[in-house]
Amino acid sequence: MDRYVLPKNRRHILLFILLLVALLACMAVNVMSGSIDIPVSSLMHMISGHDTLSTNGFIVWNIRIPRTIAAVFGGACLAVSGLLLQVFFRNPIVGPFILGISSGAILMVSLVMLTSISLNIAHLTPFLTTLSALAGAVGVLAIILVIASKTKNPITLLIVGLMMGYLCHAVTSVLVAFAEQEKIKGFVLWQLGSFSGFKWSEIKMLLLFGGALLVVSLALGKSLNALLLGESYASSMGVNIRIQRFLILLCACSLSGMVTAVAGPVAFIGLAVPHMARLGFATSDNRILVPATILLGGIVTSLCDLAARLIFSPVELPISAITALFGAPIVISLLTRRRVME
Amino acid sequence: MRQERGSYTIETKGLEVGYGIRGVLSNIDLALPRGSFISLLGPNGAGKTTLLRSLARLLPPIKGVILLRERALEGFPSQELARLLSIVLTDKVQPGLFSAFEFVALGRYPYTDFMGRLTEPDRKVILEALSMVHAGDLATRRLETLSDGERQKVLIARALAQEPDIIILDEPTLHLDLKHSMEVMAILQGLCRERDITVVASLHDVGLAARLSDQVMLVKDGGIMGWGPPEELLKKETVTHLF
Repeated sequence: MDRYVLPKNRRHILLFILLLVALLACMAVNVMSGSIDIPVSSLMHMISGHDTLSTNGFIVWNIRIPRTIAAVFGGACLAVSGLLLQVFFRNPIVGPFILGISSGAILMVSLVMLTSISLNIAHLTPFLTTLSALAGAVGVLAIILVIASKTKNPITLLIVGLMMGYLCHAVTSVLVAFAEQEKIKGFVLWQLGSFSGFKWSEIKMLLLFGGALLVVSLALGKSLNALLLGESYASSMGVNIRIQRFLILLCACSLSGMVTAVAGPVAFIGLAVPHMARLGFATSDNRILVPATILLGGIVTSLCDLAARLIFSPVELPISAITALFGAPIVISLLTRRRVME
Repeated sequence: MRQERGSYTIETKGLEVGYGIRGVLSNIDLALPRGSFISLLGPNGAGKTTLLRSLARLLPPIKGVILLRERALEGFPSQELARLLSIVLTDKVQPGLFSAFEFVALGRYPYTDFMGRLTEPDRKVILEALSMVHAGDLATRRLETLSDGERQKVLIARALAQEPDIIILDEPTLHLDLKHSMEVMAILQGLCRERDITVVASLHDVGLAARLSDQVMLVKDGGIMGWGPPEELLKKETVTHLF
């Protein structure tokens, strides 16, 4: 009887171990390389001795490690967010920003960065951009949740999300039209996303909230599987659709909103990584895919961030450019190869 | 006869079903005997699917009550209902990358723990469900590689994995050729005879319905026009009148 289960399970466990090792390796490489290369031996020394005083120690502890953690964890959050929404809408081309979450964040940030509204409040906090992006994301999330409680049809929700995106985008573009040239460049660069400049306090927040949301997402695996059959079947199997729908939307949008707030709208990870996980593990079982996308999201994003830093060093490329440049061909080749195999 | 036990799985009283405030069918008073095969016949758009969806609690009734095992259907906790009643719909099901075994395993939802882990008894039920629909050999096959007929059998196996008292099927022979239609119908009949499961299915093939079902329900013109054993009900006039 076990023949239906065991060989596959073993393969999955092997893949998980492989991904974990790859993730650790990626993190190490991320911390070691950059404008100053740090050899493994001294890295070990610096980490074990918590050396923050030497120049290299300072770079490792206050620049590279926060950035690496942010990229890995932010990537994991975006990937899971994309997976949740792909299952929820039963649509493979959905990503974490389909419901206008990033557009809301961009709108609020454009208000702060492009107009002079911020002049009076800029001294209040050093995290003004982060906070305004968070406000935008939460605002859109609140609207989405209210509408989700009123409509039963996921397609309606999808269209509302798209419309919200267009609305926010329209206001943003008006602001851009009236903005001064030098402000626009900063705004455009923010829009492309970056994991640089993270403070430890931000990292701790990200780990705390993101970690909690990821745990909830792991627990959603079972009902996500039932939802793969559509809402009628799911509810006939005993899924409480209203509660699950609320939880899925809350998790997906909070995860992507949180990452957008601290790193800007990093494109493509949330769309591509779930596909890579699905094809790599050869399953649509979300109890496996949620942990798989967490690991794979971390790996892919940290590699992209590494590439963004190194390719034209010292000029840093926007991370969204790298994620799309490398990610799109990978997804296309994975999908077409599968088609051929069938 | 099973009816003599006096147990009805589903009863309806003064039921009116439809969408919003618009009734599609009204004054439905039914008593579905346990372990019988009940076919719904009627022209397209008569309201067969609406009635089935209401009986499965996917659509709230406009008026009247539905009783399941003499208890109000709306009062059932969803997990308890899922252990009593399962469905096979015409909705296109594309869950992605699953083997037939894994797909049928989704039907264990109301029985498994919060991570959906399968126990040994669960696996036994799944394999039994597959063999009951003559699909034991499909267990390791990928869902997307199955033919229409094989797929329909696996869908029925998934419903069986819920270990229900009653299975509601919307057009289970749609898109199937005669050979596969016959096979699916024979499987459903077997479920009634051997497992005492009540099968309620809408069908478009009067001949198949007449040959295999215990009771036939004629749905037309906003109500149930007739209800009884097929040999009494399906005389030539009724059938011409029906379509």
